[in-house]
Order: sequence, then structure tokens, then C-alpha cells
Amino acid sequence: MNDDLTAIAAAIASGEVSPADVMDALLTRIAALDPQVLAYECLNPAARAEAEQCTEELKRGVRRGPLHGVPIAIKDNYLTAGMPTTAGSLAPGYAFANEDAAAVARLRAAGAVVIGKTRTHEFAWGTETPPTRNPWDPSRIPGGSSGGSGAALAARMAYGALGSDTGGSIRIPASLCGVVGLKPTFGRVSRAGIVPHSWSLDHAGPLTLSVRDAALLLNVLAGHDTRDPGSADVPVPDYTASLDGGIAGMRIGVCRNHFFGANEAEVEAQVERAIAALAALGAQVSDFEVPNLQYGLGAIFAIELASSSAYHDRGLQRGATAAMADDVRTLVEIGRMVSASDYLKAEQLRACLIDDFKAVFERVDVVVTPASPVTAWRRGQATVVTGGMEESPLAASWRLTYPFNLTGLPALSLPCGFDSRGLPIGLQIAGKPFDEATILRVAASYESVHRWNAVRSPIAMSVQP
Amino acid sequence: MTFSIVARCARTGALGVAVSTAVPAVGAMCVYLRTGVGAVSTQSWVNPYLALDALDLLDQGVSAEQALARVLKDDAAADLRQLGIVDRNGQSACWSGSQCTGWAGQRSGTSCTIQGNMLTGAGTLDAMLAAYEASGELALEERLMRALEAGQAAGGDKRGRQSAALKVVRNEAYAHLDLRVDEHHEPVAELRRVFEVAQRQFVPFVEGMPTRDDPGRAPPAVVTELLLTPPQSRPGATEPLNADMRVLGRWLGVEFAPQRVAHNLATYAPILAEISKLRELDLSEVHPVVVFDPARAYAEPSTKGEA
Repeated sequence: MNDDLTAIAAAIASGEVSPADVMDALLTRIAALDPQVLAYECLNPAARAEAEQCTEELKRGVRRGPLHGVPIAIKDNYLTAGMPTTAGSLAPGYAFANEDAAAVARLRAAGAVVIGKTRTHEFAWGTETPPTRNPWDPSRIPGGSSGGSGAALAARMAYGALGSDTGGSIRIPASLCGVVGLKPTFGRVSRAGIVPHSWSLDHAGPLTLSVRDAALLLNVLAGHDTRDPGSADVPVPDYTASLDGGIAGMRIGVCRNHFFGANEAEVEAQVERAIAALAALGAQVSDFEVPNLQYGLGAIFAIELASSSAYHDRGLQRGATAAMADDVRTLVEIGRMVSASDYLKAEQLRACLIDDFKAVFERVDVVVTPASPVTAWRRGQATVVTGGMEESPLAASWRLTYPFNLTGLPALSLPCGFDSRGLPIGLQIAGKPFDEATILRVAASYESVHRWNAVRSPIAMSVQP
Repeated sequence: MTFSIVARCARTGALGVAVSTAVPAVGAMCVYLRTGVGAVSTQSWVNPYLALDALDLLDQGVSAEQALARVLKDDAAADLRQLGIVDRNGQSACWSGSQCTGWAGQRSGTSCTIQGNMLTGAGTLDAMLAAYEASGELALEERLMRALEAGQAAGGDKRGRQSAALKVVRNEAYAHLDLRVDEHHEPVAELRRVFEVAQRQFVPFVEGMPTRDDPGRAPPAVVTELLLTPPQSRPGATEPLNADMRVLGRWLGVEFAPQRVAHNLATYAPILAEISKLRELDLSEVHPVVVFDPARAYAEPSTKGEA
């Protein structure tokens, strides 16, 4: 791929293009496209000046780091210096500091220039991200809660973006927008400076145009941070080093319960083709089951609802929820109904699931599943057909992603084809704790052969790069 | 221990009392009315005979002020009493003994007297007077209800809330409206709820009852038919759910807006079905993922920095 983040970083490093020219071209695209996509909450007023400064530095031989001069978008629940943070909400009484979140600071230290803030579903509590449109079909939602980041990439209005993932909020929009989304292991990337949603489930990570971009951004983002109580002090490898290692002999597990049988037919068929393709690349594929996943939905609801209502408690007690969108208001309010015993049983169930997956990962190197049971649904669409049954797209959307929030295991979504409406389908690859490298290697191997990520959305094609 | 308003409607001559306190059954203890004679609230260290005797005096044509002076004259504990009186002409008198528990005090308005003790502050009485004076065009019972609500909103009884009552007499010896909430955590709000139900389901019946002048009087058919239906299908019926939800809301630490109760419960129902699956599991041998780890918790310096 010659126009991903890795490629533009290399072109800037070699002097082929200047950071200022790259930023100018991008801002022109955003001006032309974003009125249709609505991916950005706001733009960085200093983006042009900062790109110019990167250009000047390069002329003096200064290169801050591997992302020098590369434009990157930030989800609007990360705090940023120089740009307001809204977390997608108009609710009164919330004040967010005008300073960079740890992940944003790491990107800037590596030379990245922040383009602006991408829209999030309000307080990251949902999978639709109104009002953002899906670049593959503007009548459809981009997924969420990092929907602005997914849509900005699919419309080629960013080279990389940050997202956050509590039940699937990086991987769902990645899947629905046809881009790559990586939720690293819990503790791998600092969440200091991200508006909390559910402390023990929240993850920070990148959305990108290619697997190698995800590896490059994880190199910059990963590392211990004492300001995040969940941060892990675990060595950070070079995630780009083993991307081309191939997957001959790799043990790939397919969890046949929970992840299959209740997906849109075309999604399931395309994921089966992807699994066959991985086998064709030399992997050994085996099936397994985790019966305890039948309790997963109750567990994540108990933990996410209770945690979110605890974080929002002051707002709740003052009546600030009345100013939230109807769906988010409801979730924040009903979170108070989860009893402490139910919450702790959910944390016990989590221990069971972790034990189950520990056993699975003694026998396999990665687990492959669909990323979302459904492709992008229409705004306001009431039902989808999954496994021959009707259900709400919202209920279906996070079924395949939340198990890896409960277990804290790393998981990535990458494009694996399209349904008959031309909407992207995502393949999810999950791995052992802190073994993002193997996930990225499997993903890169698949991507290098199938190149679904090179297909551009109609909106991305409507303006020449 | 109480805040109350005693008043006479200048337009209709109706007499009324509204009161709330942090003791059960205030309506049976403090409120005394006699049609065409006067209205009294007796409170603080309550002596009901002060009210009964005052009404007798008013009935003999004694003014409110003189009645007040005469009943207190023979009371050894007058310092502990609080009394509000309005007579048939709208003349009022009130008394707050110097030993009444603070904050204690009184206010007088047009044909009304407002008194309270053991209050959070003077604001309770000022709010009651303002609400009463601002609603002169409305029926006396509505004005009294509003005054009570304003008093509660401004602070009310400093110990909390427990009971409330509202009684109004018009032209008959029986009461036009006589409502009591004897034990409730939000007695004034509950009194309002009962008040609204009574306005729709009860007052039309009272207005059709026999009078001294018209012993054969009967409620219109539409009213009697209404009262043959189950309470929950009558106009003004409130969901029993709402009362339960207020209790539940207090336990849970969240009060849903009335129009969102059904929506929120309906949203939670399928979620609860999922959470309930966990309740079927015996996980007593499993330590939850949550682990208290002092080694980690104390490893970093305090976020407060150096003292």
C-alpha cells in the first residue's frame, strides 16, 4: 500500500514530500469531504503551523521520531492541549483539562501532527456515533464508539487515528468502515488522559489503513505509565519486526460457539473464506468451544453499566443526564440498578473466562472470529437478521468483541471482504496477553495476499488524492 | 417540629389549614376547623385544647386576637406552644412561645398566618407566604398546597419529613377536602399526589353530596358511574409503580424522571435477564478479577504530592 501512514512517513523522511504539503492536501480533502461524513468534531487550529514547523526541522536535519510530520486524528475522548475535549456530550458540569493525554503526548513526541478530534458516541457509550456517516454508504452508521476515527480513515481524511475500546469501540467501527483497528492487551497502552467509561474494560489503541501502520503506531503508543493504574510494566518489542514472518505452522483456533451461528449470512461466509485462506497460507486451523461465553453478555453489562454510572455519578445526582442523548442517558441512569453482588459475580465470571482462554492459548497461537456479526446498518434501522433471527443491530454489534474486553486479551479487526451491498466485513484476530506481535503477523500475512484494505470507499474516491 | 399555614379565602369564605412535620399523623393532631367560625393550627408541644377552646371563643364572636390571648392566659406552658388562628372575618393571630425549638417564627399575610418551629431557617416561612400571596386567583386548597410545597422546597423541618395534611371547609359542617399523609418519606409530594387524585375522583362526589339547604342533593350520574370503576382506570390514577420506584430510587441512588420510568425499566429488563444468568452460577470458589494489591497501590507516591 503506497498511501498508508508507513508510506507517508517514509516519503516525508526521504524528503519526497514535505509535512506542510501533506497537511495542506489533507486539509483540502477534509474541507471537501467532511461536510458529507461529519467525522471531525473539530480541527486543530495549529495543524498547518505545526506541519510547517516539522518541515523546517527536517530542513535542519531534525527528525523527532518515526512519525515526524505525519497527520494523525484523535478521538474526542482523549484530552488534548490546544483543542477542546467534549467526549461527544453537551451535558453540563463536565470540564476536561486542556492538556495532552499520555497517548497523544507519545504521538506528538514521535513527530505526529494532530489533525483534529474525531467524533465519538457520547461518552463512548454506544456503537453508532451520530451524526457521523459511513463513507461506504452515507445512509449508514460508521459504528462506534470510535466512529469518527473509522470514518475519517475510510474517507482518507487521516493517515491514522486513535480510538478507545470498552466493548468493541475500536474494532466495530474498524470492521464497519473497512479499516484496521487494534485493541491491545489491557495495560499495554496508557489510558491516562482519556475520559473514563469503565475502568477495567477501557483500552486505548489505533485505527489505521494497514496492519503495518497498526504495528508502527503500537511501537509509539505502547509502554508503562504510572499515571494509568491499569498500565502494565512489560517490555515493548518492535512490532514491525516480525510482520513479514509468515504463518506457516501457526496454530489458529476457531471458537465455534458464541462467535458463529448468529451472524449475517454473508459475514459468516466471508469469514469462513478468510479462515480457509489462512489455512492455505500454512496455518493449522482447529476448532474449540468456550461454554462460559453464554454468561459473557450479563457480565459485561454488569461491569460496564455499574462502572459508567459510578464515573457519571455526580452528573447523575445533579440531573446532568437529562442533557445526554436518549440512549446514553438511559444507560447511565439504569447503571445504578446493577447490584454490587451482580457486579462482583461478573468479575468472578471474568476470572472463569480468563481461565478458559488461558487453556485455549496453550493449544493455539491466535483465535480468529468475525469482528462484527453485521455490516454497517442504516441510521435508525430497527432490526438485522443474524442466524435466521431478527435482533437489534445494537445488541448484535458488540457480541464478538466484548469477550476480549472481559479477558483483556489483544484483538485486531482487519478488512476481509464485502457483502453484496458493498459494505466492508471485518475479521477479528485475538491473541495471548502482550503478544500483539503474533496477531499483527497473522494479520499482515493475510493482508499481504488479499489486500482488501486497498479498496477505497466511494467518498474516498470522489476526490483525487 | 412543624410548618403550617392557616388561611381564609376572601372570595368564598372557605377556611383551611395545611401542615407538615417530621412526626407521624400530623393531620390528626394539629388541624382544627369549624365552618363559618375559624381555623386553627396548634403545634410545637401540642395542646389540642388550645385549638378547641379558641374555636369555641371564635364561635361566641370573640376576635382571633382576643381568643389567642385568652387560651394562652391559663396555659402554664405557653412558652412551648405555637398557635395560628384565622377567624371568619379573615382576622388572624399567631403565637410562637419563646421556648419553641429553633428556628421558630411566624408570618402574617392577607387573611392568613404561617408558623413553624424546628425549621432549617426563616426561608421556609417566607417561601410559603410568597407562594400563597402569589396565587390569589386560585382555590384555597390549591393555594395551601402550593404554600406547603414551597415551604418544603425551601428547607422545611430540620429533622426531615414524615407526615402532611391539608383540610378545607367551605359552607357545610363537613369538610370539602380533608387529606392526610400519615407516614411517608416525601409527605408533601405524596400529599400533592393524593390531592391530584382527589381532585379528579373525590371532589366531584363531595360537591354532589347532600347539604343542609338541599338534603336530597345527589352527585351526577357521571360521577357515581366513575366511582363504580376500579381506581386504576379512573382519570388521574397514578401508577403504583411510581411510588415503588421512589422507594427503589432512594435505595439505588437514582430517581428517574416520571416520563422515563417505564422506558428505563423496559430497557433494563433484557439486560437483567442476562445478568440473572450469573445468579444461577455457583462461583463461590472463584476469586473475582478485582484484586486488592497493596504492593502496587502503595508503590507510587501519593497523587496529592508533598504536603
